[in-house]
Amino acid sequence: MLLRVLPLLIALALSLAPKSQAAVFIASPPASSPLAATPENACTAFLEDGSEARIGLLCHNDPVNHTDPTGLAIDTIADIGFIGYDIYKLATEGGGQGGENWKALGLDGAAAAIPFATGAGVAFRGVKAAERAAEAGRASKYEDSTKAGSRLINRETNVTRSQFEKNLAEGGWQKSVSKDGKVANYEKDGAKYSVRSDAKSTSGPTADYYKPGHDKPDIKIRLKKDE
Amino acid sequence: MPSAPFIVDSAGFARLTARAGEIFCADRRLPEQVFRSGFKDFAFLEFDVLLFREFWDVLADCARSCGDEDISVIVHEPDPEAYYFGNFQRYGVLDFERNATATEYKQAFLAEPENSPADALQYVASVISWSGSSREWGFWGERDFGVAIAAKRNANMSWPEVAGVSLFDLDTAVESFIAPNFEDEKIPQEFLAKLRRNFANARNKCDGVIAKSGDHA
Repeated sequence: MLLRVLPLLIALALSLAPKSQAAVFIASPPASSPLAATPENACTAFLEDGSEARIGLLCHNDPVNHTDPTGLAIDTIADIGFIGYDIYKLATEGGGQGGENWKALGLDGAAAAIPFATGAGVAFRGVKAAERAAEAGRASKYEDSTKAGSRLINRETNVTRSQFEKNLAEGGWQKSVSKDGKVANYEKDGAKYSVRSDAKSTSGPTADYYKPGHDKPDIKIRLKKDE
Repeated sequence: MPSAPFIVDSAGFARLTARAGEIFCADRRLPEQVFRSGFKDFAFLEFDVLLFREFWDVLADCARSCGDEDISVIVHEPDPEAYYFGNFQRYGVLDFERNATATEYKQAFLAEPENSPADALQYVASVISWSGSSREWGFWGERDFGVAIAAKRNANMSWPEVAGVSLFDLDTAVESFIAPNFEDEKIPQEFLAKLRRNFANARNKCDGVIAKSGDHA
């Protein structure tokens, strides 16, 4: 029991520091993961066990809805996940070669106290796993790209419009399309995404996210162009 | 669904588009000069902000200071007649009384045509102009470039100061609102040069209310 509760307490206590930007990895959850996502949890951290760590968050196929504008929630969840994973590794493998698992836990504990320094332990184990996941299209990244003066939070992602819309459709979001086919809106539980392709500039499409009950967008997601 | 601000008759459409034609060159797009000669003191806003309900306070303030009877909003893209009237039997043109409310303004943008909720102006309108019946001021916005430009005829007219709606100089607009719409945030030199040539005179000339880079709304 202590093993389950301890990482949550540590991470929650340490992640109260003010934070400014977010970087989130999202990937498919492994069914065998000891911390696999469950439908009951709004946004559950999970970690995939393996020779090299692959990390991620599952947010009900809704990568942005379950982030808060400041990224605090995601960072906290990530911190919890990383520390939990370290403890899981310690419990199942012991200290590991050269005390690797203890070092990873120490690094993650320290990272939880630093805004968006999440996952130092995993970095210690090898960032190449995350890079490989991204290359394989299995991980998605959302980074804060908000500029001075903007009223909207901007997030840059490597997810394409078609991938993004596929995720929303699979997540049960109701779709409606404008007559000219340029805009697709997705609604669920009062929240909304408005996805559109840009006709003139050279950047990719965008998705404006409206929180439930909001009549103006809260987040502008800058999607990657489809290949 | 409130239909009052939507123009549904061809005479009203012709009247308001002709009036807007005295302020804007509606067939042009940025970085071309979209304002008629005589308009100056350009200031810049984030496009999305013009769809916020608090932007109505800016419009109403402009109308009060210039004695406007009404404020018109024209959607230039998609086509106000072929697309909007063709599909929904109402033009992509709105006409608000000067004493309309921010809620009425917002509701008009959110009003969903029957069986096509994604066609509410909030989501589908990509090129829009706002102006008053005095023809003394106007705003021109292009969603694809994330920016709107304000201009006025009379240098003595002050831009309203409304909480949550900041006007910026061109350099800030380029960096904060326009660049993110280009791949790797690299604006083509030709585009940038034309934008500066047409609108750069806003710098240090807009009554002291234009924020500089780093100022937040």
